[in-house]
Amino acid sequence: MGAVDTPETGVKHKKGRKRKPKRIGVKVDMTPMVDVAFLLLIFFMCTTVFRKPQALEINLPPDPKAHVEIAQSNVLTLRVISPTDKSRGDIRAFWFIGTDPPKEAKLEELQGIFAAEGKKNPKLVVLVKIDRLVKYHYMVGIIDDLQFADLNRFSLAPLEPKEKQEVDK
Amino acid sequence: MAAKKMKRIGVKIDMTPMVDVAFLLLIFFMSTSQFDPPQKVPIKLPDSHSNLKVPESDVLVLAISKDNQLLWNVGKNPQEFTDLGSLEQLVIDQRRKNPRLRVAIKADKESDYGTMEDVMGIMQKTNTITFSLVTELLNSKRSALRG
Repeated sequence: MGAVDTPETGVKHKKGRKRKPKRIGVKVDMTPMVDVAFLLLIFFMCTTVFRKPQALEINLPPDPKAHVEIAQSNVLTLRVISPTDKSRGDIRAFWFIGTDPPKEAKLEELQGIFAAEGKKNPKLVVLVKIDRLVKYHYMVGIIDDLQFADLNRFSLAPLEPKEKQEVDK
Repeated sequence: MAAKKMKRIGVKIDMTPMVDVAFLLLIFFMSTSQFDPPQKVPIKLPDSHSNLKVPESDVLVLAISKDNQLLWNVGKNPQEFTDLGSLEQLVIDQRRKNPRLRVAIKADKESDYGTMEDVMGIMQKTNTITFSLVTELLNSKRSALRG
């Protein structure tokens, strides 16, 4: 298997008359080389990952002290907390517009809320306040949902203890 | 069994094309595969729908492990541990060394948001206002928050 014969090296006569060429018995056994080649091929095929990790790009405001005045009615505040009472689950989300009282929402509902509110008010700005104890992937999920709903005007702000107490009941 | 001289059957399969293809594939996979630098701490990335590519060169990768440890590396250099206190100086030094440096944060999905908040505070202080969060691509339309 996998052996290669060297081409016949017959000496041709000038006028095209063929003579029976003398066979030179050099045979190179390619089997081990082909074996190694296949081994490497399988190794590289198995270890190659075509899928590259993706990235969410975050832009922070350049100056932390810069304040942008926005009408209260255009601000949707989202508070995500890790409840002190663990029987209420790992994570709870509350949202309100302007100075309305916070309403609880399930995480799965947020995408729908963002889409609906964004449609109602194109000037909507979302203020996301996440508790420090919340797991990081929830933040990525929320940013992802916001981008999905085309709400690219959002900002992340620290959650004040008072704000947590207000909803952590 | 009686030892009889077997009649030779002249079936020869020419393996040359197969071996050619095998080598072609071998060279392709060898040249396209890149090995990730070894990771000191395994990191499980969160999911998102974002399909932006992580920049490939001039990147400072800041990794945050499950238990909120910070690690950093630039390019193919090995990872080194750091902490929130020295991160600011580190980012400033690295950016001075390479002004085109970008920051990619590779945080474990189970790490606390608080660490990320602190890191973002440092990024803002060092005026590194654009950075990427490395995530795994989610193909379906469902929300990443749904389990």
